[in-house]
Amino acid sequence: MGRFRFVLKRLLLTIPLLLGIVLLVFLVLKMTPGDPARQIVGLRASQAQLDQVRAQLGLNDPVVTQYVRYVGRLLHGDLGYSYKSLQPVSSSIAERLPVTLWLLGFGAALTMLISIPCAIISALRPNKAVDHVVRGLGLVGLTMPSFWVGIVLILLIALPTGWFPAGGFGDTPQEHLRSIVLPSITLAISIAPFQIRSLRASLISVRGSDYVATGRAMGLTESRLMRRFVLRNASPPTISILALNTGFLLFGAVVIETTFALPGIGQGIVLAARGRDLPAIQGYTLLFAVLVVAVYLLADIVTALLDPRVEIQA
Amino acid sequence: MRLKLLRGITIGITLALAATACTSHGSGSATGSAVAGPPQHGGTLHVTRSESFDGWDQDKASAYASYQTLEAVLEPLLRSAANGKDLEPGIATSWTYDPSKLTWTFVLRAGVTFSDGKPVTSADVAFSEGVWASGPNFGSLYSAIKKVETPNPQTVVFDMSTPFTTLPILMSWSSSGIMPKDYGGRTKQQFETSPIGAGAFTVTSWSPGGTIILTRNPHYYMTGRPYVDKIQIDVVADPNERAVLFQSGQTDISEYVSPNTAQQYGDAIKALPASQVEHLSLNTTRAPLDNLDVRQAIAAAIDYNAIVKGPARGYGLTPKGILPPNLGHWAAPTQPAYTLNLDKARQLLAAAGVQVGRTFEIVYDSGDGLDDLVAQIVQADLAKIGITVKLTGLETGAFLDRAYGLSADMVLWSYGAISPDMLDPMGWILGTSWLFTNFETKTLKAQYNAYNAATSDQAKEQIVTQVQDDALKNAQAIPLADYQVLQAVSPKVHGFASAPWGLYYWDTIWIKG
Repeated sequence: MGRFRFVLKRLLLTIPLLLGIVLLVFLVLKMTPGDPARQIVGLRASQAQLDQVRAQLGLNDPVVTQYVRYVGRLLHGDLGYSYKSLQPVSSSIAERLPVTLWLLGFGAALTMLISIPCAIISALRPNKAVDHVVRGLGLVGLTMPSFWVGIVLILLIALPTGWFPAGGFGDTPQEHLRSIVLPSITLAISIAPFQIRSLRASLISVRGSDYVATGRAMGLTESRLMRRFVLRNASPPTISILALNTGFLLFGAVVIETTFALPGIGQGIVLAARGRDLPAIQGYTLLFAVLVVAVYLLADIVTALLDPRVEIQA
Repeated sequence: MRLKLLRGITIGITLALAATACTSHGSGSATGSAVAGPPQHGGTLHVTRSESFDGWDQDKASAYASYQTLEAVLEPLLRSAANGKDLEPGIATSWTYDPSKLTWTFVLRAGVTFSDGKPVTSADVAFSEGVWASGPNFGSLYSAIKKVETPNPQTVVFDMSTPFTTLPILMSWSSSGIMPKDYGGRTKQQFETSPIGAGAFTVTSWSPGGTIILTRNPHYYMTGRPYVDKIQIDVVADPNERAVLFQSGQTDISEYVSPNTAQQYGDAIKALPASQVEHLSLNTTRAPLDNLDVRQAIAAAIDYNAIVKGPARGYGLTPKGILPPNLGHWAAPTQPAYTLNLDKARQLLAAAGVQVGRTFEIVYDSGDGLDDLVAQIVQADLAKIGITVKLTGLETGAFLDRAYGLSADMVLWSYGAISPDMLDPMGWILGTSWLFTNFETKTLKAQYNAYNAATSDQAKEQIVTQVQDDALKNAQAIPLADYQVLQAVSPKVHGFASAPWGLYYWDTIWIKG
């Protein structure tokens, strides 16, 4: 019951959070200079035509009225229409979201594939050569910006070998898979060092605890101890770190999608910003915010499931 | 918005190391097919560009990328020649002007159909004209058309309210694409979701800012064309990534390459004849820029060669005048072009007898890496004659607000044409308060009207010379450089022929191998 209450409380907390985000996105774009009407009717339009479009869009109404109208539409699932193409923003998001989800999914999976073994190896031999190597490599990974890593991977792998495309997403699932490998590696290289450091520290701490010493004294093997007790107890902070990194992961996707010409949400937001397509910018920003909130919520739920102490706090 | 052609960002160190040496800045607007043999049918042409498509509402098109795409599906009556100076027959095979009746008569090619197989008739042209003229953006361009008559299905007569010899030019614009009457029984919105035209390609799929897939129109009126079965157009925001895609062979044509990344394309770069004018516009309603001597002094203080060699990487020329060259009816000014002469600049400032102690603001589009560099050169140049300049790089929307609102001391931007004539550049200058200078437009308006009424090439060129001379004398807008449009074309692509402003027709292209 305690866990259920905890999850419910977290869910309820997301409502004011999302409302705040909606308000912030609306206000920031409202305060940005530039006339959306000019964007819609074009550079040759007369002032009278601009005024007419402004009136049609309700841009002359008080800001509060515009905000209420905007929220009303959002509650009906209407993200508005692109100023450039006059197509629904939601259809553009629906088209681009799968690409970003492929990237995030593979990137996150690859991050865990890299970070868990590395952290275990480090934690099993703290302050030994192998630990220094893993930490050193992590440090190198941290210092390399993802756009640079992406370019290097393209120049050193994609162009000379042709194993992977230099960019784009392809048309078939097989092409999607090939296209997503290098961007996922790029994403993982930027995130994995955080995960390794966090998990390594937790593992070392848990391995030094009394109940692990007891288990060891009872004759449990190191691998069983690691599987059954150490990893599970060390994972909650790592999940929190992964959730925190999801924000970076999403905004990293903007850079990585641009570097690899992936037609995802990241590239969509870049193009919308360049074209000053306000409804599209608002839609993409809200989507990012909702995704981040959803991942944080998910992390809280998973942590609650893994860690009984959360129940007590709830 | 109007495409800023020479958009780019600073090259990363890694890519700079990987870049190959640039071999030529000469023009190369066509890839030969004689060596490659007869055209081959089939294949997919992969095109990348940096600008999003504006959609199928012709009036909303504002980027070169949109003009290019629109014409492939919604073909206008006439086509632009690759030399940038002539028109070619298209859906219409002949066009004649009767100055006594102020009428233009266009005869449609027999057997032209839309992509759904229905014939293109004069009624479709008349309907289309109504749509063009009602558009808030381009609509005013058609205001001289009083009435459209359709004496028979093959003949269209445009009754003009004033002498208007430039109508055929307008009939080659992407804003003049032919649509079926009453949108073929659909609503405007339905039509613009899935348009039908008489162009070489049909729309298979598209999305705002996303991939566009065009497929060969089997009913196209030019026998045997188009050669390629499919065109895939991808929008890639990062110019370096576009270069990499081209290097990897994933792209056949990379449109509007930035000079910053041109080296990465090597010999594949086609540098078209210069056709885009970079200009520094001075707000003539603000002291001391209302003083001619001050404006002339600014013009004499700028190092034009440095702009061409630096930001433009040599892909351009020092300007002769304010109008974009290498287009139909372009004529050189009789006034000498501006050159760097610091002594003259200082003398002019002294003669002006005004205090220029205040700081001037140059506003430019910060999304354009080229303008950022040009602005820095101008800032350094003006400092040499004691004029302090503050640079304000703005996001495009904010920049347009300042430029159109005439709320800056100076505006830095570039512009070009979209058809083989001076009609568009002169109209653009007129519609932007003399390129955002707030200089009087009465003279130019008269010149523009006279140009549209002139019946001989000589008369038109004389007017162009007048406009150029007036601009050089008054120095309200200082031309800084004439830029070249750069297109990258893979060696396996044949039949590529581009007009100076970058328009090329996909139906002439074929892929070998």
